[in-house]
Amino acid sequence: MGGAADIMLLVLIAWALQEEVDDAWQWTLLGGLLIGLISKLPFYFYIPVYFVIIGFARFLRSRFWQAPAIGMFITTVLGTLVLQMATLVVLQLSGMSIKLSESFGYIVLPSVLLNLLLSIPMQAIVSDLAQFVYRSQGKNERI
Amino acid sequence: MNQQINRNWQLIVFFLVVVGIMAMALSGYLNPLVKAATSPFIGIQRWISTRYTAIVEFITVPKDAASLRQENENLKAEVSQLQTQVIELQQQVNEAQIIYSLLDFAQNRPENTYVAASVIGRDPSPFLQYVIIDHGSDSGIKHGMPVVNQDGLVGRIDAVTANAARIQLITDAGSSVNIHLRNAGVDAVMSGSLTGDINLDMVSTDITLEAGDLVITSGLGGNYPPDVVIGQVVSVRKTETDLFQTASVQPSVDFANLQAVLIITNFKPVDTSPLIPTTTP
Repeated sequence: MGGAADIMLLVLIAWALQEEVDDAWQWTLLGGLLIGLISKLPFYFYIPVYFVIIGFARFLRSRFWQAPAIGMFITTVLGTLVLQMATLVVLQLSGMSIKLSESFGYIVLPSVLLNLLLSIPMQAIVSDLAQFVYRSQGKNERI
Repeated sequence: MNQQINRNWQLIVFFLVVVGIMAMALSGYLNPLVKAATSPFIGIQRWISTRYTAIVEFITVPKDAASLRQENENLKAEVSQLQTQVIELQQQVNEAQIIYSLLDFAQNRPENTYVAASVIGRDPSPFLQYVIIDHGSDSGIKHGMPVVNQDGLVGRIDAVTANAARIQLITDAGSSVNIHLRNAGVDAVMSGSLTGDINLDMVSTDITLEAGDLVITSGLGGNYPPDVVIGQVVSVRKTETDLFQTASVQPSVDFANLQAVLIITNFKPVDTSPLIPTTTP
């Protein structure tokens, strides 16, 4: 299998799904820029794709506010598919000949599976982090 | 007078008895007797000793337990510290082994100048086979320079910043290398793929390709220096109806565990793009 987990995407989705979080867009911009600078793909590629995925996560947050795990699962699956398909299109446009069936079986599906597996612990970690950040922020405001 | 004689006789007899007993004792005849005589005393001594030891332990154990516990904690801390040291030393040994093998490779090819670099990252996209290294233009690295390690060809520099560079591996789907098959004695083009395998394409069916044939760079095209080992042919796919045959190549470099590389800095890649004819409308 040639897939890879996208930790940045998972962190951004999990963060965007937190109820208290209002700055998900800023973090998406920063995360997309960081990944874009490392990758061979154009540095501006990740930012719009991440924005679309995070927008979807924010939309789902209002629908599944009592069950963030469901929102995490749906966004992870669809988000990974969108990201990998967008990558495929960009690479095809840049002249790289990639077989769709091969890339789907070898890259896209394993990546979806890996991201799905990691989404459970990531959601828990980011949820704890959000609670920690916003609880301490609340205390500071009260003081 | 008689009394004096009797006393002398008594002394002689007493002396003889004592000497006899000593002789018997020394020769071991009295051992069973001595054992029988002393065993009750030994038993008593043992009984007293065990009770005494038990009483002493009962009084002093709480103090000993505390000190033992402290000592145990100290030893545990020392063990964990030593384990950390062992891991660090093992890492250093691994790094030293890699450096030695890179040095060995560089010494065997003195005509080239090298810059050694560590691999610090990989491209986040699973579609792309690129790695990031910790040296850039400040170390004299430029776009297009070939990258090798002790096992063979790794790839070429794709992008450079002041302190880092990105390498396109030969396993990348967009990579193609002009190669030479040593046993078959022919040149061909090798390309990477999505799966990370490398394949030979467009080889004429007239040429006999065999598994185990050594694949080296040909130097044609001016992108890579000649005679750098790439790998071995592992399987050949050829049918009677096909015009060309293809082959899979097992790379000599372990790309999954790539830790350090050498960039050949005195090799100037040739840009052949102006020579490629373009279609004019």
